[in-house]
Amino acid sequence: MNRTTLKKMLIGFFLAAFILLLGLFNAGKPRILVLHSYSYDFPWSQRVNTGMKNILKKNRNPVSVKFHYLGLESNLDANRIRNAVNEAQRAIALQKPDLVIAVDDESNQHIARNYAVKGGAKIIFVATLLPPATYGYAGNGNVAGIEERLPLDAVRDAILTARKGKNARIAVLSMDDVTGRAELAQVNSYAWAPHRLIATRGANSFPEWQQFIKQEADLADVLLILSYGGLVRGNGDIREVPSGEIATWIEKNAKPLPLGICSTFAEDGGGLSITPAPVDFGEKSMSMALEWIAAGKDSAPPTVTSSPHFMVGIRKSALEARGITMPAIYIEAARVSDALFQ
Amino acid sequence: MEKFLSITSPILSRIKSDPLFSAVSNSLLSRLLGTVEEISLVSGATLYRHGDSADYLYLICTGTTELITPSGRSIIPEEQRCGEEAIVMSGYACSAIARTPVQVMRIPRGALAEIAKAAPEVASGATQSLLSLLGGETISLPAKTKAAKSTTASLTEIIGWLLLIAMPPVLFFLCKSRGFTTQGSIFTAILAATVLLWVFTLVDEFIPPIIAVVAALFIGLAPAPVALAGFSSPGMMTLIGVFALSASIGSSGLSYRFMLWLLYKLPDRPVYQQSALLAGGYLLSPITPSGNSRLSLLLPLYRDMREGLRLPKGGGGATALMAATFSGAMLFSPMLSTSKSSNITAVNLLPQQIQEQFLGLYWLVAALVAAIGLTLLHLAASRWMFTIEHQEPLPKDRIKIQLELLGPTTGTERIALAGFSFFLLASATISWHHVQPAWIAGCVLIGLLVSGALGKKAFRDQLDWPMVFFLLGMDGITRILEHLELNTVLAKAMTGYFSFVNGRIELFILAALITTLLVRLALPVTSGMLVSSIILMPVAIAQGINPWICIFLTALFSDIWFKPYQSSVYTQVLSQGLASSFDIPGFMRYNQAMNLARVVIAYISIPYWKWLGLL
Repeated sequence: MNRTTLKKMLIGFFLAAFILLLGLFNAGKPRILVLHSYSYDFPWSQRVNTGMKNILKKNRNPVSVKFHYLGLESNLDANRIRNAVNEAQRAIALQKPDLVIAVDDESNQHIARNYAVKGGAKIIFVATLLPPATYGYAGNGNVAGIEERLPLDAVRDAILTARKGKNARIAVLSMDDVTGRAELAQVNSYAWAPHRLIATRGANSFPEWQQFIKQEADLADVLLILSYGGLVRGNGDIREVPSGEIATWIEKNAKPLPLGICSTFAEDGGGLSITPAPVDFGEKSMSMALEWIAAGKDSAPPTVTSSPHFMVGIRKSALEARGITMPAIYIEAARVSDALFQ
Repeated sequence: MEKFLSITSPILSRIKSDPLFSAVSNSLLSRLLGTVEEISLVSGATLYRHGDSADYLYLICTGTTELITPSGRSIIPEEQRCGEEAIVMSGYACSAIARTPVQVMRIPRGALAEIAKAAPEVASGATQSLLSLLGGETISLPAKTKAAKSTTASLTEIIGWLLLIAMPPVLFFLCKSRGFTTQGSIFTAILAATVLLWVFTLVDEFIPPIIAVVAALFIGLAPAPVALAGFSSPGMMTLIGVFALSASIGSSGLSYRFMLWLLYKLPDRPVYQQSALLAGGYLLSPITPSGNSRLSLLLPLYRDMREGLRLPKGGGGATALMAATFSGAMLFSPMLSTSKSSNITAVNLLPQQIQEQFLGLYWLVAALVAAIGLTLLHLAASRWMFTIEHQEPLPKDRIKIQLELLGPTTGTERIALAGFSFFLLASATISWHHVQPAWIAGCVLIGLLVSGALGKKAFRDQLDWPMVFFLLGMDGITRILEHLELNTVLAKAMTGYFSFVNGRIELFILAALITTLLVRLALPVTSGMLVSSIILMPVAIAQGINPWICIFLTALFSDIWFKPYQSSVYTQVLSQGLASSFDIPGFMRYNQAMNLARVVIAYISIPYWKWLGLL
């Protein structure tokens, strides 16, 4: 063999080894699939992602992260759910993740719970309103997560502050879907004293919401607005009502003080919102995932936890129209959350 | 009556057997084959007549064809071929008639033109064949000698490839065993491969950084916005703008005209002639970030001057002129951010506020003592080291004729001059208009493109794209190092070696000199300077030394060379066949003196830097 042939062989060997080694390394990297219940452009999903990306920016360990969106925030007919589930299962089969972060209840109810039972990928549930046992996660060594507890202590205190220490009669509106029912369950089971719940309703159409606000809620002092993603026009029209239209209508027509527990209520046109902090969910869940992966394949799952953080949103003009001035600490809290609107 | 036959493999054999196509590659023949037609002609049929448009070359397969010249001479072609005019002329020089039933293959002119373009020996072969036919005697043109290109792999190359295969994995495991993170160990291995590719010159200089960046992206060591940040940085625009301006000034002939004018106007004395070459190189420096490019513009003038002055080969006068040419191309390299391609990239290593401070002409202000000092030391060295023998007066009449031949300045030259003036003026007035030099370079680029001074072809061919990719690849490597926090590891490791510096600039200059010289033993100028900067920058920052001084010193010291392989500019001089025109030992002594001068002016600059507040 002459030198030129040897050189060609060495070049070939180098290129093959180079690509093979890099490929093998890539194939062996831990894989994380983030499974969102809602769409990519849904504000909640984006904010959760912001938190996750904050952590990934600081991460230096090789890891492959992919995102999949079920898009189940609205029009939840059986066909749509089935298609979304099938797509997600294909994504899982394609990526073969070592760990799935299932965000919100829908992704856990329809997909993650099945994988938790089968074993294989580790599951981290995030921002679930229903207890982990609902999904069969209790005692499962393959599952960890972060529950979503609505910041009802903060809501109770904010009502007292807004009403200058006076108790309130509270009406509650939610969607009649997985998230809505779970949120409502938390609200119903909360000890509201010194306030009092006087009416609750779960409905999926805007006319039903409007009717409730004008009738049952009329006697209340405060109207708690839970998540409204996917609220439809109703009367056979399945088009989704824009969130801005919902919040603006409520703020304009509701006699009681509307208080959103939906993360975009103030941004959409409402006066006051106190909501779970999606960025914190994102940061916590991704940190948990990276630590769990780094701990090794057979490591015990991290402890199930919840996020103590919440986000304040204020639209000053809407509150001023009702003659309400929130203390400076609320204003500053809204400002730092980038949720202070004029 | 013509009869078209299908193309079969004997056709290929016939083409390949013809001496005209013997040197044509199979890939070109493959393209040719699709255009070939087989024709049968009866005895007495005419293939073409004298004066007809030369549309086909005919290869005779069977039968006899006769050529009739305009004077009536009859020729039977020996090569069984006729119609070579289709390759080199527009019309047939004689007529061709079938003397027996013949089968010929004809190849259309268009296909031949493509072949001749890719394989010029086809055209020279056709010319030779026509001359022989019409002249009546065999005419043999000397074959064009191709530059000997060694295709045999050297032992060094084999060792290089073997090390490239073995060393990175070894280094990976070594780093892992020393407690490096997986990603840090991998990138260290990738960097080792990059350095080996450079050290053994296994591929062109611009390729290793691309390999490193692609590998890092491939396995996700750094996200694309980090690894490819250079491509969206202002540096990218500066590089392209400056390279475009340089290409425009060179290709328009502006630089050549200017140098001729300078020689014509300056007094006819050696010191002025040498100064003209030196000044010409200096003037090109702000917009020609490559010593090789500057030299390629200066060398024709060196040749003209040496011959015009009738300076004896190997004499002191010719050597002094070469020293001026070489220094004109090289001495100003470290003095401006745009006069050396690695300077443009090294700027990105500086902290943001220092970057802003040194963009524009402040770099030159800070390097002023060094620039003046080096120039004076060059002049002194030239005067004392070279004994200039009697020389003929400069042929100013010839220069005048040369200038007259160039005619009035062309539109392209005027646009290039306007771009050059605009770039210099705008760079000098940044404190007034607050526009970054990168965007000024962008405006120059737009001006050159829109005005047509730099066409699409010139933009594609004359810009040094490999250098652009090399520099942005190096930028990517630096950013990946930072992303993986390996720069901190490097800084810690280097702090140990450089603890003797202890914040003293005098010792830092020594550290920079030793580091750069050691790195330059293995790496070429551009990568050598950048690697030295990457090593020294954390040390400078940790020891409170202005980071720009670190960059400047590496730029200055990376131009030091002892052996010809270390200087691509010097090897360019040799490759132009000029080795015999000057005294090589004398020039090398001058070069050693200038190496020393670079160290001296670094130390001389210290009080000035203190006065400027940089220290």
